[in-house]
Amino acid sequence: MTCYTVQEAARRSGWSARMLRYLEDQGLMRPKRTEAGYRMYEQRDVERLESLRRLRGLFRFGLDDLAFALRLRREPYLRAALNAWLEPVVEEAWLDWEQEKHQRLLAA
Amino acid sequence: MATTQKKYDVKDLALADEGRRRIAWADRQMPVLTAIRERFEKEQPLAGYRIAACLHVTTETANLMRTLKDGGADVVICASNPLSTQDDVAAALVEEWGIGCYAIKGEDNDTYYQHIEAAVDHKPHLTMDDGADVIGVLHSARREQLGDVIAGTEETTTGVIRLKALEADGALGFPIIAVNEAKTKHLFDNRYGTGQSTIDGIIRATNVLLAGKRFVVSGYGWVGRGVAMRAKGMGAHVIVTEVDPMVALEAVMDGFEVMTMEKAAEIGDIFCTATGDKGVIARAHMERMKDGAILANTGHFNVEIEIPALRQLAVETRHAREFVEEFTLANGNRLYLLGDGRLINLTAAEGHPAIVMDMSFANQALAAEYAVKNAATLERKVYPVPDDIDREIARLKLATMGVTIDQLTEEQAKYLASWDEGT
Repeated sequence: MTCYTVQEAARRSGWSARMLRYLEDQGLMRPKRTEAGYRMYEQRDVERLESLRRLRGLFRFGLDDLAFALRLRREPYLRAALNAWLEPVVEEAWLDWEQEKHQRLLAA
Repeated sequence: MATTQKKYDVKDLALADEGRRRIAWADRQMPVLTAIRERFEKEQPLAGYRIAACLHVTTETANLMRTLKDGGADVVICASNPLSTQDDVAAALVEEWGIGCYAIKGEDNDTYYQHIEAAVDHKPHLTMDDGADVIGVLHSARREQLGDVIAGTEETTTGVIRLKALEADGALGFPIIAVNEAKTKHLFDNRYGTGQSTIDGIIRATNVLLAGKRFVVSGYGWVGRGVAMRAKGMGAHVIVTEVDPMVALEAVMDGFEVMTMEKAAEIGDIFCTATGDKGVIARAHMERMKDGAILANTGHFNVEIEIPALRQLAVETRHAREFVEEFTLANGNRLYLLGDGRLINLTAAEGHPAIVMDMSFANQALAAEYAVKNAATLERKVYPVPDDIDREIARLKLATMGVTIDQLTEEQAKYLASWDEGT
């Protein structure tokens, strides 16, 4: 299996080596290690790094946001608590919109 | 995509799988629409007709779209509110059922209107609205298409008010069927659906015990009746306020105490407005209320309770708990406003279950079929849903519940007919 060093994986995916270490620190990537302890990136890892660049460009988020997204997946209580907290915001927004629309209709 | 017209615009087709699952779940709560769909599949009453719908893009609506499609129609849908769209449902409509869907949750106003235009580009023979959006575009920017339209349906009261104004001006371009006036919609949507979810919202917001409380319901329309009946069933002493003598009399004969809001304000523990008008609970009423009175609205958005007046009256306001704001007045009394005066059944509870929407959307589906069958005789007017459709939906609903009823004998039918003829 083809494996890449940090430098090589960085070059191929377009990230900096420092960012690759950051991704690992945040638990977002887990490259294998050689017996001597060097990071070893497989083709699949490089592809994930590339798709992360695409997603980041598409949806405009930071790596901190990604780390938080992982927490949301891993911590069900955090997820439930935030959903409950956000619920009124979401509900009110569509109700406000509905009210405005119907007031416009009556005024027309 | 640069040269050809896009056939859909949704957030992400990859969400289709989740949407399909949730649509199927809602479908299990919509047996009447299922029964209509099975018949439509066989009879193809809408074959060859193009439909443009502008409704909340939710699981329940998706089942209506499937029904129209199975009836032979060529259907597209856009959102009637950009913030209520369920992106997974939009994806499933495109991916699973090949229905052109133009809706993305949180889309900006420009995109929202472009999506309505895209639905109109479909050159519909039938329209379905929840707030007269598609009808609005057809009557302004696309007047040249008015002639193609056989009929439209409208789901909301405000939409119907607007369309009746157009009709009065002689400006209505095609016949409209006002779905919200069907008995099977009122009964389920307003009396049972909103009736239950309003009580649910008040209880969820406050955890109050209804038994023994004086519960004031303003407005004895379909929603008010539902709320009053349920509050009574839970042991509350229900007081009704009304402006229509006939309706007020009905409330009295139904066993409720009826009085003016001025008097009710002094004795009520819980107030719930359901009138569809504004300023029902005004400053003067608030000043008379008891310490601890709870104020909720389930009627027309947040104008039924005069909230600006309440804020002026208060010497102190406090967030008491989720959905509950405490207002301390100069006399030391505290009033509790629920959900900022917005529709409490949507704010603190979950609105309608799918089984309620089943009846509303059954009306939509049968109204579409009716419009096609009666295209030749319908005029440019706003029509109620014909009684036959109401009866057919009631019959289907009873059948899905396993309830059978008696039939008139030939002799009985004849006897009744003779009375009808006035002999």
